[in-house]
Amino acid sequence: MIFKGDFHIHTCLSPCADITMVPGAMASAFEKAGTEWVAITDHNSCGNVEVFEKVLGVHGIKSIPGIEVQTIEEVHVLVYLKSTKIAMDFSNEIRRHLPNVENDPEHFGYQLFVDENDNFIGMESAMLSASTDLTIDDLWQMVKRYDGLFVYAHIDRMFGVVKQLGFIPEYPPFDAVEAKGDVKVNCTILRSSDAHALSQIGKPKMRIKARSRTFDEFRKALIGKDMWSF
Amino acid sequence: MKVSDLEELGFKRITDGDGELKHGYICDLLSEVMAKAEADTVWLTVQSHMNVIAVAAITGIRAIVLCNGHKFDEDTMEKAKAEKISLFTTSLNAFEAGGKLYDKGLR
Repeated sequence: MIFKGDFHIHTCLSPCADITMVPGAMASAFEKAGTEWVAITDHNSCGNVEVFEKVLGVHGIKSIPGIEVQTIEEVHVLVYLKSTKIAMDFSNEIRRHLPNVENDPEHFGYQLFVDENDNFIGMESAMLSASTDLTIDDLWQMVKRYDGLFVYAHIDRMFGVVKQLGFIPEYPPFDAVEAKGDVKVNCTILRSSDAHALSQIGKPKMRIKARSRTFDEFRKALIGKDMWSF
Repeated sequence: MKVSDLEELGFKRITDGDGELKHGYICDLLSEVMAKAEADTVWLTVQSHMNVIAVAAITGIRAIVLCNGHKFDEDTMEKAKAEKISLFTTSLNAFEAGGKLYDKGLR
């Protein structure tokens, strides 16, 4: 089957995202846009992944647990993980690599946990907009320890690997890249909304050939280049 | 020196603000700046996105000079006005711009 997907989406947990990025409102926006398969990828945390999986699932939208990690080089890497349980373990380990500084919501933005009914139920105190103390290599090792996928985010934009370092390093390897413009790489190029507000959820740009919307099928399509932008 | 003296050194003023400057800091990694920059600093960087204003507000950086001819985003300028952080631009690189400030006595 061919599915329509968007694999870089923020929720109200991301400090720079709109506080209206709650599960019910986002489910409606995805339905309207015709998005069938998504990944929730907040900055340095998977804290809202489970509730989104639940609510989006009710609307027939499948989600892959994800996170957008910021390395010490200030490079953004999208990590996709097998299950919400593994994602939470991964997220807890990332949290230990964040600076021991409390988030100042007035300056950096609110980081909100939400429940199935779109109610805010708590606030993340760690500074999710900061860099972890992990190098790109460290992060790669960690992702592979969790059997996850390592994808350089918006490589040609701010916080993208090419923008930060000037090139994609030869090592470590990576599973795919996400880009906005034309880039020459021999791997899958993800095109995503990177939505931080409801108005940024538009028609999904990716088409994925898969038997079903599972992590293993996503991995197979990503590595096997059985997905393309439309 | 004063923030307003930056104009006399040839840096182009983008947003208002004044105050005493004692230090200069050159770095493009926000996490480094946040951890190490002192108050009353002028910060030379090529980063122009909104988080630079948050970092400046928290550390007490008074002015930011965006080097290499880069331009500030609209959002960043708005935020700078709200936080009273003075923004400047220059076509010089950070080393050349820093040299001018060092000559003026900033450390």
